[in-house]
Amino acid sequence: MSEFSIQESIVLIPEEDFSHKKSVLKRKIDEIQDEDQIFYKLANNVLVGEDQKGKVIDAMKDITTKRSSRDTGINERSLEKIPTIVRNFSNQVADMKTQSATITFKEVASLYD
Amino acid sequence: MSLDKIKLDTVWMRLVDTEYGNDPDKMEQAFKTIYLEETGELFEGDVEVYHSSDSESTSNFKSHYDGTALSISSEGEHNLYVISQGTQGMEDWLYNIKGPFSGVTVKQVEAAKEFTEDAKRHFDINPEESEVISFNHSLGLHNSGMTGLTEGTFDEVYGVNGLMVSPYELARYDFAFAQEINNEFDLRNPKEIRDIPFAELRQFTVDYYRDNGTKIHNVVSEDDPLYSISEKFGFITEFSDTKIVDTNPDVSGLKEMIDKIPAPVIESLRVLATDYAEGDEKGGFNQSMNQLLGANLESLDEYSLGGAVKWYREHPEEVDQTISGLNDNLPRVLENIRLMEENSDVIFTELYKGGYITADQRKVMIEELGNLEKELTNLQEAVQFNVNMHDDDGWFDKIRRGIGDTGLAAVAAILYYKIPNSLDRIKESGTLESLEGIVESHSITEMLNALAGGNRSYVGKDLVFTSDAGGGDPIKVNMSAAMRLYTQGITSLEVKQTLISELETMVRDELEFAYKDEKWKVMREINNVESSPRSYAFELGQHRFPSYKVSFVNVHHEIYPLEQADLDEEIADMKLSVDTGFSYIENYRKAIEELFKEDEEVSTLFDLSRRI
Repeated sequence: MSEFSIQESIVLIPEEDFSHKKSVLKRKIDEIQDEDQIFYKLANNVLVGEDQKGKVIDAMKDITTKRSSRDTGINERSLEKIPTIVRNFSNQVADMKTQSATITFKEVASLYD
Repeated sequence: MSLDKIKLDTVWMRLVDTEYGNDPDKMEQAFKTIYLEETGELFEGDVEVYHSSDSESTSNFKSHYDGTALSISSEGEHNLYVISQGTQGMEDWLYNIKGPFSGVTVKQVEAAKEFTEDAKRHFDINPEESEVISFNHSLGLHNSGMTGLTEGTFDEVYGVNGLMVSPYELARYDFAFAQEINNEFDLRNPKEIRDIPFAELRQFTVDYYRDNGTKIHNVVSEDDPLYSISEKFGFITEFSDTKIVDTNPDVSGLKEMIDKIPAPVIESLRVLATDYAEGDEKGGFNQSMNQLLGANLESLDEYSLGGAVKWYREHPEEVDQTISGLNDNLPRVLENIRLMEENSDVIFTELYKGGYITADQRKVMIEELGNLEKELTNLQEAVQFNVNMHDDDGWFDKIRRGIGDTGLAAVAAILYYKIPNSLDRIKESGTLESLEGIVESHSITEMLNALAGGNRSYVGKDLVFTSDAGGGDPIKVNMSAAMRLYTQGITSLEVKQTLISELETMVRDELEFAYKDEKWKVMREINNVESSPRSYAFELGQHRFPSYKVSFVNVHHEIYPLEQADLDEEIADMKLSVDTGFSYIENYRKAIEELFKEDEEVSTLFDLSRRI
C-alpha cells in the first residue's frame, strides 16, 4: 500500500462575470444626477437674467455655483469609481474561489485492503 | 373666503395662460399658487379639475377645442369656471379663418357649449345656486361668447385679447336669429346673407342680441392683431365691455394702422378667406387652393418633370381641368389681389412707420405684391388665350390640336416658377419673422406686464419682483421660481435623500453582501470537497496518476475580508450635501427677504407657499 500527497491550487467554483453590477450602480447615480439637475434648475430660475449684479446676488450666485459643481464632482467621482470597485470585488471573489489544498492519493490496490 | 378674487384680471389671466400647458393634474396646484401670488392669501377651499379631453361628448365634435373646467368651492359658495384655450396650433388658425372670419363652421362653439354642459353634470352644478363663469384667450372668447350670447351658457364671460363674434357666424349657429334675418331681409336662401349691406346686417345683429343676459368682459391690447383685424372685419364689439391697454409702447397702435387700410381691401380679404375656408372644409389644403385658384396643385408636380408638352401629352385631363378652373376662378382672385396691391404702399409703409418691419422689408413686400399681381394678370391672359381658341367642338379639342401651344407653357411656367419665386423672395426677406412682434402682442404675458403695477412684472407664466435694494441696478427676482425652490426644492432634496439610501443599500447588496454569499458558496464547496473527495476526482487531477485514487483533501482556506469595494466616502459626501441643502434653501429665502425687506408680502408668500 502506498500513498503520497501533493499541494496545489484548486479551483473550487468557476469564475463568474460580475460586470453587470457596474450598470446597476451607474443607473442609481444617474438618477441622483437627474435629481440634482431638477434642484439646480429650480435654483437657477430664481434670478432673472444672468448679468444681474449686487452683493446679495453675487453671494447667492456664488454659493449656488459652488454647491452645484461640488455635487457634480461627487457624482462624477462615484461614476469613475464604479468600474474599480466592481473589478476589486470580482478579483477578490475570484481569488477566494481558488484555494491551496493538500491532496492525498492512494494506490488503487490498497484501496481494497 | 369669497370666490370673487378669482375674477381679478391677473388671477384668471394667469390661470388661462397656465391652462395652455394641458396638464390637468397640475391645475389645482397652479390655481392655488397663482391665487397666493396674486392675492397674498392662501386658498383653503376645494378645487376639482375636469379636462375637455376626458369629456367623451366634447371629443365627439372633433373640433380641436381645448378647455379645462374647475369646480371651486369655499365657505358655502360653489362655482364652475370653464377655461377655453385660444388659437394654439395650425388647426386653430385654420379654424379662425373657417369659423369666426368666414362663418363656414361652428364646431368649436358647439364643443365649448357641450364641454360646459358636461362639466355641469360632472360636478353636479346647480345653476340656481352656482355661477358658471368662463375665462378665455383669443378664439376662446369667441367660442364662449357665441354660446353665452345665444344660449345663456354662462353668467359671465371674461376674455384677454378675445376675438368677438360676427353676424355671419351667429346666423350659422343660432337658427332663430337666422330665421329673423330671413324675414327681415327677405332672403330666399341662407347664402344671400352675404348680399345684405354689412352695416345694416351688423345693426340688426346688435339690436337682436342687445338684451341678452350674459356679461362679456374683454381686455384687449392696443397692438393685438387679431382684435384689430376682427374689428375692421365688422366683428361686433358692442356685446362686451372692452378695456383697451397699450401693451407695447415701443410701437404705435396696430389698430390705428389697420384703420388706414381701405374697407374694400378688408372686404377682398374676407372673400379670399371664405373661398379658402369653403375649400378646406371640403377637402383640405389642395382643395382650398383648387377653390381659390381653380388649379390643382398636385398636377403641377407632373409639369415639373417634363415641361408643358409632356404635362399635356401625358395628363391631358389634368391640364384641361387646370385651364378650365383658372378660367373660372382667376378673375375674382385677381381682382382681390389687385386691390391689395394697389394699397400695398399704405399697408407696408404703415407697418414700417409703426416699427414692425424694416425699410428693406417694406420694399420687398411692395415689389413682390406687384410681381404677384403682374404674374396673375399674365396668367389670366394666357388662360384667356387658350379659352379663345375654343369653338363649337369644345375648346379642349383645340388645345389638343395645338400641343406645344405657348399659352399653355406660359400658364404652367407662371404657376410653377413665377408665383413661387415671388413667395420665396417674401419668405427670404424675413418679413414674416419681423411680424412676430405683432403676434407677441396677442400673448397673455404682454398683457399681464402691462397691467402689473409697482415692482411686479411677469416672465412667461411666472411672477417677478424687482428690488432697488441691491445697491446697483434694479434686481429682478422670479418670485414664482423662488417659491418653487422653497417648496419643490425641499421635495427634491428628500427625493435625493431616498436615492442616496437606495444607492447605499445597492452597494451593500451588490458588493458587501454579495461577497459574503460568494464566501459561503466557497466554504460549502470546501466542505463538499473535503467530505467527499472522490466525487471530485477529475477536478483534483486523479487522471494524472493512473494507479492512484484521491483519498483525502485538506483545503488550507484563506479568505480575506472584502476591501476597496465601496462608495462610503462618496455617499457620505452626498449625505452632507443634502443636509446643507436644507439650510441653503433657508438662506436663499433670507437673501431674497433681505432684497425686499420693505415688502412684508415676500415673507408671507414664502410662509404660505409650503401650505399649498
